[in-house]
Amino acid sequence: MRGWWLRVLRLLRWRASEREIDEELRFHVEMEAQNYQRRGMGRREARRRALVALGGQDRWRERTRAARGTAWIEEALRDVRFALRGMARAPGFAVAVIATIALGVGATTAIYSVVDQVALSPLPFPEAEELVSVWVRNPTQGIDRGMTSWPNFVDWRESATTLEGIATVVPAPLTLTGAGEPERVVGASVSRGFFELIGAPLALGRTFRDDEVEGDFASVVVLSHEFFTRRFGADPSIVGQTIELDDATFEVVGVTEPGRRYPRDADLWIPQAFGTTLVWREPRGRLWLSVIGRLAQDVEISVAQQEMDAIAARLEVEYPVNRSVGITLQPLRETIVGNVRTPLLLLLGAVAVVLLIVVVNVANLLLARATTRSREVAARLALGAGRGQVIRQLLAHSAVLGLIGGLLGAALASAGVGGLVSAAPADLPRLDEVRVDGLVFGVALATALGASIVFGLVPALHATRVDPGSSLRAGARGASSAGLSRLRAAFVGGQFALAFVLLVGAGLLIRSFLNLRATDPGFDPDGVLSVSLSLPPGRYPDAEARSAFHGALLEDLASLPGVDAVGTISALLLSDLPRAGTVTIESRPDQLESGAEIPVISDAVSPGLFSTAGMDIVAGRGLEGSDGPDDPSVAVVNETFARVYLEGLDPVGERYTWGKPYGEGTRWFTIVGVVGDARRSGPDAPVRPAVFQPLAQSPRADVEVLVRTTADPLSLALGVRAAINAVDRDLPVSHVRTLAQATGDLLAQRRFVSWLLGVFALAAMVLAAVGIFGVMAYVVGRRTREIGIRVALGANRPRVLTGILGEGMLQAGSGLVVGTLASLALARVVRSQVFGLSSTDPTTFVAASALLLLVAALACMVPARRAASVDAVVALREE
Amino acid sequence: MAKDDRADMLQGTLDLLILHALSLGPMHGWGVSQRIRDLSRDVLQVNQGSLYPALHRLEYRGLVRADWGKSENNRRAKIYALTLTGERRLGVEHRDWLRFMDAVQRVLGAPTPPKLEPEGGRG
Repeated sequence: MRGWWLRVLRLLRWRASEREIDEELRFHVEMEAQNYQRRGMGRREARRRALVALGGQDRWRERTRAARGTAWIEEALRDVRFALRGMARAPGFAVAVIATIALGVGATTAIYSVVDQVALSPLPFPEAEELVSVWVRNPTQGIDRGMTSWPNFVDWRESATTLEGIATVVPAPLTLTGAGEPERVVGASVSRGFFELIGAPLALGRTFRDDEVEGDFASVVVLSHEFFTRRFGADPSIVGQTIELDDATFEVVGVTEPGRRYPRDADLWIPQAFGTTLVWREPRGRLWLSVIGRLAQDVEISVAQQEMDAIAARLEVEYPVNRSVGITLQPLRETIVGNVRTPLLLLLGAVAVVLLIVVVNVANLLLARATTRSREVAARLALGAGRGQVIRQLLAHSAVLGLIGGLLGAALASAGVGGLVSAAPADLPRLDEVRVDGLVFGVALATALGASIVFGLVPALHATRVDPGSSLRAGARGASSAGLSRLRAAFVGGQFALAFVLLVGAGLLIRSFLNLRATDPGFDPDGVLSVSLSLPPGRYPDAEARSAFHGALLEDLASLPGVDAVGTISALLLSDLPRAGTVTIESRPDQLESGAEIPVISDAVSPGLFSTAGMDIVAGRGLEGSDGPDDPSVAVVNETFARVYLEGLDPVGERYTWGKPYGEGTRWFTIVGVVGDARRSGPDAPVRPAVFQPLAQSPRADVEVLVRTTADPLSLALGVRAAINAVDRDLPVSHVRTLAQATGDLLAQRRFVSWLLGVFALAAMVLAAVGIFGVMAYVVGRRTREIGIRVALGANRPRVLTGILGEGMLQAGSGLVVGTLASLALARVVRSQVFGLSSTDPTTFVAASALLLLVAALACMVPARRAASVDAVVALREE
Repeated sequence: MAKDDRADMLQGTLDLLILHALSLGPMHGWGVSQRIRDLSRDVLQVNQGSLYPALHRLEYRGLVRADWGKSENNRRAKIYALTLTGERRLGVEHRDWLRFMDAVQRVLGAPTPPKLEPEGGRG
């Protein structure tokens, strides 16, 4: 205890205690000198004798300090100073190591933080692992995870005992009107018990009462805390007041706790309502509800799945419409992050590989540095430095490098997270929650420090095994061991193998991305401006009102200067849940019964749509202005529809109806034309059957307006907006963008991942090049004398050059062989991300090999040329 | 024997000598070395390179206490004094030393190898 206290105290008064030692020393010398003087010596002579008697002052001081117990700290500080001086002497080496570590730590931390938050962390709900999505699956229709109908949901809710709660959530895009700027908000209508189920307690007010949900329409709304803060300045008095949604009045009854939002960016929730009579008329075949549930305490998802299977089997027997309909439970987190999991884990793998390369590079650089320093070490050993001291100093050197690199890495990581978040596609879930993860940073920093210390230790031990005598004779250059250079060669090979794997992965993804971008989408997105609008039911209660609006708007837009064509469609690019249903073909009434039908996407389009979007009519005619509300119902179908439903028939003139025909009053749609397939969910998604009905015959409230121009589409934005507001002053316009941009966004995630992987592959390649350069430069440096002798004996310079080059290429080449095998083994992992080529695509493999060999050759060229230019006389004299 | 750069005395011995010198009264470092020299009639001359580290080590171990005070000629000097622990330690070390001397004596005085007691080594 006392010892520690003294130590701390002395450390705090370090300078003072140094002064005290000096003062004690001076006193001693003085007393000694007086002693000599008393014996009759002259003053100066006495003083000289006293100093001689004292001996080496530094050693004296040293041992005094050592006795005080703070020696280790003082020594550490000295070692650090020594390390900094050493770094200043070889700045290139220091910069290389520090940059390598900083890059490794920074990139790893930044990317891991994103991946961790998006794909690996639990959802922001209590006991989130109990939350599940409840899907309908129908293998015969190719439906994996689909919506369900209200009657089926009610049956599930009444039967399921393994689920503690179950609720429907239906996205409800709404427009906030009334005071201030109209604004599109993300709403969801939810069934009874939703808030209790997900575990989102309210910060203010209450949730919905049972009598407000699932019956008559109750005009109550719960706000998310985020929306409450953004729109209402977090003023608690909003609870109890009313707001206008779609021109209807809603009473705000509650506000949730912050961060508890489901769906992900929900602004508000309204009750799921049917009207008391309508709820009984909800058809069992109308699939439009997504369902979430919470597993009962201690129930495994597999157990609940068994119960749901039994329920589905029972409902299948009871209701023919449920034929081959099953129920699938899926952890909610998987539902949310499912489609990004593979690419993100791929990135994580790439991060690990880069970190590995970083470690190897640091090791190699330290190995090279230690070998070149072995003469210096030998000299210091000969001058009496302790082995332990030398090892300690070398370790301090690598620790300082690792620490500086790690700190720079921390800065890089925090900048990197910001950069990643802004570069990432907006639909990456839970992106707004990404922070630099302290734990991850700690792990990365520990790895970097550990690597630099461990690999600092190997050369340190090696260096101190050097026999000072032999090493000081210049001929024995640094007494390298064969084992060490084999290790370094293996490291170089390993780096090339890892870089190769990354390059191949990046190459496959980038080529897939290019293939996808080059895929003909079936429409022409260039030169088209797209805006979305939604007619509030309050002001547009019926078809006439909506038709009048559409007519006026189309007319105004067509007369805008610079506009070549105008068209509207419900939504050209499909969301995850487009409006879809099943159809019956008049001439094939039994088709629906076979259970093999695929849901058909239903759209209402204006006559000008096909020409505006650049979709070609391949048979029959397009839709025309003459297809008015009172004319016979017509439709244009896409090629996939014709192939799936009208195989072997001439589509034009065939008739279909939605669902099943029910006698006299059945509304039949006559197919008047076939339009080319458009890839509306992105180039990598299959085309689904679709029908296009005239807007005039089914005037929708939600429309996407497309305007084609030869000018810059965005230059029309203001005019289009003005034209819309000329028809309806209060109508909000959303998603103003070019169609090209919107189409590009479909590939944004792919572009993000390919781009990141490409950056990683480049970094890996550069690191591998630095690695091989370091090794070859070292080899040449060590063999200068041997090369000099060979040149003196008549070896020609090209031979020397190719010899060195060959040695480097052998290391790189063996790495490529290993890398090829590894890539073939890993091909399975990326298969789902590869489009339009094989995941073992030979071209990519060959190109990656060629690129790496070229880089290796360039990196080896500098040392090889230096070897070839060795002057025999100089080389021999130097020894 | 009077030369400074003689091999260092065994460390334990030096500690014993210093503790003993201080048991006669608080003293500065130079005084301790003089006292040992005087008491040994100039036979033992403590190397300053050993003296101060030893003093600091003893202080660190709590056997002596150091305070800045005045020397006999009124100079500021670091004065060392024995602590209670130090006094107890001096007693132990002194007994060990006597036992050690006795053992060495017996070795040198006996014609046949002596039988050493288990605890009879250096203290």
